[in-house]
Amino acid sequence: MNSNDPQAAEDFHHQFDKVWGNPRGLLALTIVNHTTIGLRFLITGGVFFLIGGLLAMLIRTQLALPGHDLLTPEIYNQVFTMHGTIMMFLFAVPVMEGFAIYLIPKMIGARDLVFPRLSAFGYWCYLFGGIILTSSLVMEIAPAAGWFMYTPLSSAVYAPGPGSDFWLLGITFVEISAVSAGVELVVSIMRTRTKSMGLQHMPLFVWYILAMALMIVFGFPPLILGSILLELERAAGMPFFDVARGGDPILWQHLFWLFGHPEVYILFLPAAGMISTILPVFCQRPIAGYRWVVMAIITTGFISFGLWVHHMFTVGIPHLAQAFFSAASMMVAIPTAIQVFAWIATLWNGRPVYEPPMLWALGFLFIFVAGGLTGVMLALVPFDWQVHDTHFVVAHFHFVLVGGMFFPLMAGIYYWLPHFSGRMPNRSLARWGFWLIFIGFNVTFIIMHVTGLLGMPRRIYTYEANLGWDIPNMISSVGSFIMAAGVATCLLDIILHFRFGERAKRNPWNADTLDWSTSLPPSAYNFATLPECSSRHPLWDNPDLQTTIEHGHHGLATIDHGRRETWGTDPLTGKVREIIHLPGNSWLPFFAALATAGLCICLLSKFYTVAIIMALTSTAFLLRWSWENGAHPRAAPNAQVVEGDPPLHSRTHDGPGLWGMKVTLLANGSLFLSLLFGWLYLWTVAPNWQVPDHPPVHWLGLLSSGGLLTASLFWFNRVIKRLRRDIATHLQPHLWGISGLGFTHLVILVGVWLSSNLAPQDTAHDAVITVMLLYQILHSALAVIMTVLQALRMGRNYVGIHAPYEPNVVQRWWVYTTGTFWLIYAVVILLPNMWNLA
Amino acid sequence: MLSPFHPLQLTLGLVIWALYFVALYAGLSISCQHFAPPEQSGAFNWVNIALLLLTFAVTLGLLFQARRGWHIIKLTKKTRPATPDHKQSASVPSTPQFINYVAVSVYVVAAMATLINGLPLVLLVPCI
Repeated sequence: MNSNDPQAAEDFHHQFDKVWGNPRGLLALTIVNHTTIGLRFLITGGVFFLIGGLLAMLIRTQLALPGHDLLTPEIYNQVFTMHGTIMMFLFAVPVMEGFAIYLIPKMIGARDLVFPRLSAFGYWCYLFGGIILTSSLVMEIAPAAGWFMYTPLSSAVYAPGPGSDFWLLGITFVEISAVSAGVELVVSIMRTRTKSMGLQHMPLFVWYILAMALMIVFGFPPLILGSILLELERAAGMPFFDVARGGDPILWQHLFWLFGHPEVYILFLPAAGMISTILPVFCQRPIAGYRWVVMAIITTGFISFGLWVHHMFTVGIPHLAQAFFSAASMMVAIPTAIQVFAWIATLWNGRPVYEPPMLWALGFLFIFVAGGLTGVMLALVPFDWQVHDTHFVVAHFHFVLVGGMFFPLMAGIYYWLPHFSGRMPNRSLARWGFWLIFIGFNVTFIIMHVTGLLGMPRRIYTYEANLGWDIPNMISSVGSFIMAAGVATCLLDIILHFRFGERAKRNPWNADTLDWSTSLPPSAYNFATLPECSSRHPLWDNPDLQTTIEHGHHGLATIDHGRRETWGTDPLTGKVREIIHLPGNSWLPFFAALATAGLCICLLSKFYTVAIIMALTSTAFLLRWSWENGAHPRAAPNAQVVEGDPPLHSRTHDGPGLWGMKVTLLANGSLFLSLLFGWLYLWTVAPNWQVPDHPPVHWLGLLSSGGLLTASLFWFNRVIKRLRRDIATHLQPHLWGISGLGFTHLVILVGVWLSSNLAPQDTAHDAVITVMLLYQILHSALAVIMTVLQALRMGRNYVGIHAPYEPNVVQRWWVYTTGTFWLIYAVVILLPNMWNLA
Repeated sequence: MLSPFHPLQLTLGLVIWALYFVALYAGLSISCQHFAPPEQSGAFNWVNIALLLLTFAVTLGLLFQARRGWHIIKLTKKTRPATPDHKQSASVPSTPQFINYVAVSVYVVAAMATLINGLPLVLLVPCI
């Protein structure tokens, strides 16, 4: 369609709705569309925020008076642990991901994210994991060792109940959601930007989300590994963190903070992206220093990984090593300052209009800069020693997190509110809400710095009178109730605006980015036709863009084929390379997540047989999910495209799945490197590390197993080379042969493990080797299963010269699996021998 | 040598810094565990000197890369015709130019970060 006739436009959109529309009722559980999934993340995160906020009010009520006995010490421990856990894992990260999931396709001119079923799976994992974790609070068996779960306090000896297990399993479950969103966002940004949107044209918010998603991919796996190891220690007695048996509790701190400090920037970067989007709109001028800001984003992403030890300045690390991390901690202020100066310059050169989003943005500037300055103070080792674990630190990180995440989030909510509802907020209520929160926050937390400097430790459930802490604590508590009143006001405003808010006109803030060229609220497909975009400010350059999009004047205007489609473009230049066809609504993500939730519950209740059944069920759903791809009848059996358009991605050698596999392997590699780090760390530092006289694993068996694995890889590579030359003769027998060879490798590997002298409950040394072997067995098994599936798909004609894409994806897994095998061989067999020789 | 317009250049400087940082921390930790120099030798001992040499080598390498990219920016400026159009979109560089611009600044930042990270080696005794 390419007409200005309104009736024709309506019919055109009706056809799109048939393909993209969301079902209602129970079938709503099958929705995979990014707009719906993003909103679900936001609403669920909002509910968890209210629960976390209620816990905060309990804490402040308890501490308002000396000797107060509202909460028992046990309950207080659970309350502060769950407050931190909920706010960090169930509110802050998911809400930011929700915003990214909702906005990214709209900003880059795409119709959906690239793996819609993964979005849905991530959401259900988050919801079920969050419910499991929060239910422990209702049962009064919540974790109570603090949100960073330091060992040995969280180990079986000092935390014998199920609280720590809830945390470890629940958080790992929720982190599946975070990592899947990270993978999906990276691939979507790199491969589905609209035509001509080169890297240099990407909205800054997209740069920020790209950095955040990559940080999730690298930053979350160390904690996932740590959680698995600690749960193995608690459930199976493998002593990774037990000094007496060769472990070290400090290893947990390293693994936690390797995740934990980047986490702060994982929250800050998307928030800063909102500010970098909002300020230029309300100043009606482009942001100052676009390239400087991009450089600052990249720099923040990297340097934030070099700070983790500043959380551990008091554990006895050598002074020189502390100085390295102190220097890095101060350096991270530099890219942050670059962004602050870019925002100030934008304000300086523009004509700011103080609408509600701008109030929150300016509040952010004030609070975050203050929090950043106390951060530089804490980066100084001697000062950190003085205030470590006091209320000064609590005040500091609330300034950083509330200032650096919550205020921009509120700015973002008010800015994109017309997007969610098609209506405008009530300016008067919005202002009341802002000022109540701004004043309440500062009253609560400015004085808390003083409380900390007066020596009040964090996490004490009460205190005696006349220590000088009474008045500051009372002021903080009063402030927190003012803040709560502000939250209630904002909530009221947001709820009421859905009914009474003024109807939003097109692009109501006169914004410059493509997200405002959709209808308000947007349709499930965002854009009926996909516009070309070679500008950083498409709507300022072409205010009629929304009309021309709706009237079918741009790309991918056909829908009669019944496929959900978006452009697949070059990651650098935005040149169109293929058409990406996307899967439709499906029950599979929901049921896969439900089975995983069942697995989590069975592990918590120690029903290990049922747990195995649940794990197999979940795997079966995921394999079925992988089956309905490419040329499958439910995906894209007909590869016909409009003349002149590029081919479907599943009919090429490249595509989003290949990128998804690569990014997933980056996350997997981060987990594996963390495991190697753990091995080397314990070997170097653990005081009772015990190395047996003879290697516990048979080296020759392992070597022969590795030889077969390597042969399988070479064989697979040869198949891929032939496929690239359009030679598919005997492809299926080749795939069966590779599967058979890989299976033989797997059998030998399992045999080596079973016949070894490993005693994983006796020493940390053997426990780590056991985990490495299990990791390898899992990867080898998946390589074989995926190859068997390819052979079966070849038989159904879903794979072949006409659809050569999937074997390319599986090949990456073989490469990775072979790589990890030889690394394990090197560190378990070769390195100890070389060390002994030296 | 990798082209200055290759997208990896956007992050390569900081990847090198990250590897340097790991080498710095791991090198110090392993040295202190197994071959700790005597405390009396002060800051000038083989551990600090080796790590300082590493710091200088990495800094110089990063600055060299930055200079290479900067040279290309200067050449581009000389050859680019003046644009009469002052619209914002007209001043957006091409993708390779953009990559080079950002990469140069990333290399400079990475060099600074390396130098600042290594500075405590001049002052502090390594293994206490």
